[in-house]
Amino acid sequence: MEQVKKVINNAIQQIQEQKSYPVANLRDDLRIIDDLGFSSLDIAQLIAYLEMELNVDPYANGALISSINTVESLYKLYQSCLDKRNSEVEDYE
Amino acid sequence: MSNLDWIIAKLQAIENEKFLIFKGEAYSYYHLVKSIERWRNRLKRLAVVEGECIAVIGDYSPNIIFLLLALLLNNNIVVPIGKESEEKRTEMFSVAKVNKYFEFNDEDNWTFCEGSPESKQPLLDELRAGHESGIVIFTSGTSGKSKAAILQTSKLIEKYKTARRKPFRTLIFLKLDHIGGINTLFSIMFNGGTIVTAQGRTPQTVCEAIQRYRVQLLPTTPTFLNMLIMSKAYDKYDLSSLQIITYGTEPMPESTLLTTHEVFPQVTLKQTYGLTELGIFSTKSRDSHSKWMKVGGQGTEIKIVDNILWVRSKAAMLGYLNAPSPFDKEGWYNTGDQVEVDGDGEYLKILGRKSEIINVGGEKVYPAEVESVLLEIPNIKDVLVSGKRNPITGQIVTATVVLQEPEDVNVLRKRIHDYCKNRLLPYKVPTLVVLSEKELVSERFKKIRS
Repeated sequence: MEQVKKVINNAIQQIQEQKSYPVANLRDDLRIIDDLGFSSLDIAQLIAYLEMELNVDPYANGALISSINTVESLYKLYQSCLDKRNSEVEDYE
Repeated sequence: MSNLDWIIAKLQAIENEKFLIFKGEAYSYYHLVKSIERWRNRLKRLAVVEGECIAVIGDYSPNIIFLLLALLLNNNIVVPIGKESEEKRTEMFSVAKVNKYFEFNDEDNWTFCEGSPESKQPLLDELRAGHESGIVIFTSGTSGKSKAAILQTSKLIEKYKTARRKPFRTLIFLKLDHIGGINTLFSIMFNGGTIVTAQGRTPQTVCEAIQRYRVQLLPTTPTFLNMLIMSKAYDKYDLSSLQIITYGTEPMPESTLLTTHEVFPQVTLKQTYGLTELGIFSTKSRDSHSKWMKVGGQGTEIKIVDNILWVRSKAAMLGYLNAPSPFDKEGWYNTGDQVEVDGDGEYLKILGRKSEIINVGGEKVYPAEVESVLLEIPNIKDVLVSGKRNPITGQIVTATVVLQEPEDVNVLRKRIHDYCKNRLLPYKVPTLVVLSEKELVSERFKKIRS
């Protein structure tokens, strides 16, 4: 989980810096829209960055937008996606 | 005398109804009629005469609506313009031959200025000869330059002369420089509904306005519904007044439609379909969780050629002010939208457009426009802009960049963002910037767009 957290935090911070948003300490319970103040374009960017960095696209694999709300929900969704992918690789091997 | 004098009679008949709620203040239809009259007198004093092209610059506000209607009744050609860069605005003024313009600030105060005195143009002259008013709406063009569609007001609103549906309190989403915004204004006004404006476009501000003013109809986009679902703002507000949600301007993801239906089981979900070039026409969704719909209605005919939808509409534009007419000899317009037709040919499903246009949350982006801005940035040798699928906004703008000298990608991203924010509207600014080691031109000297 630590690795995923780091990548996600990094991506959030990059967007905040790029858009000159106030950068506060990231907490797990912060809501992406209401607390971080992310617009639809910002969230689209975050998802694109994560797809690039982690090489997974949870939404193309059936995850619903409604499953992400807080920063913590992002960690969980991407971690479970990575776990699933790893287990599939093992199965294949 | 105006061809549109029936409008005032229609509005007077409902003068006790509420027309608009703006920043907490309510305006009746009586107020609307009086304000249009006041603006018409003001236009006389300002020497705004019939046939002149008048730009109206600003966001949604009471005075902008009153002025827009006064100008139409005065047989003017109205050019609504939203927040645009100085450069873009100059281009729009020149294309639409703007003679004079009104500019509004956020407090709804206005200034009046002279533009260019000359405004000869065959389509504009055609309107003037017939003592007709018109509306100019800009749409994206392939070369990166916007195309200006000129619509004849009397044709656009003909159907409202007689037709009447139930009035709804409607939250305004689209602005008046979009055909959808003009459509919503007319549709609410001629049916005696109430326009409600929200203080911003976030899920929270929209839900707050719905709760406070008991909004019944929410015209919106799949991107906004995604944001609403993600934020769960619907849990915190009483949205029981909502009866209909309409969505359009971009393809609806199946999962967004199903989740919206789960969250709002009592609300009718209805897809809209429209194109600036074709004015206004009606659609009917098969049911709330279906993307199958009927397109057509009064004055609109459709045909499908090689799976592509063609439309012929009485409300269609006269043409472009700065491009050849896209209509064939019989007046048919090729929408470019691929469609699927159901068994008995009654309903159809829009599958999307086969083209390089990028649709970001309903806003159209042409790669050429973004590429030309990016090429002005130092250290960028070549760039290729394309669309990438995204679960929030449907698509995002991606730029693949070849550099002259090596540079850290994060520094480059920040530089691109800072440069573009003054030159391009936010949805056109590349969301994703990636570096390419390879040249971007294939052997046939055509850029490779994936």
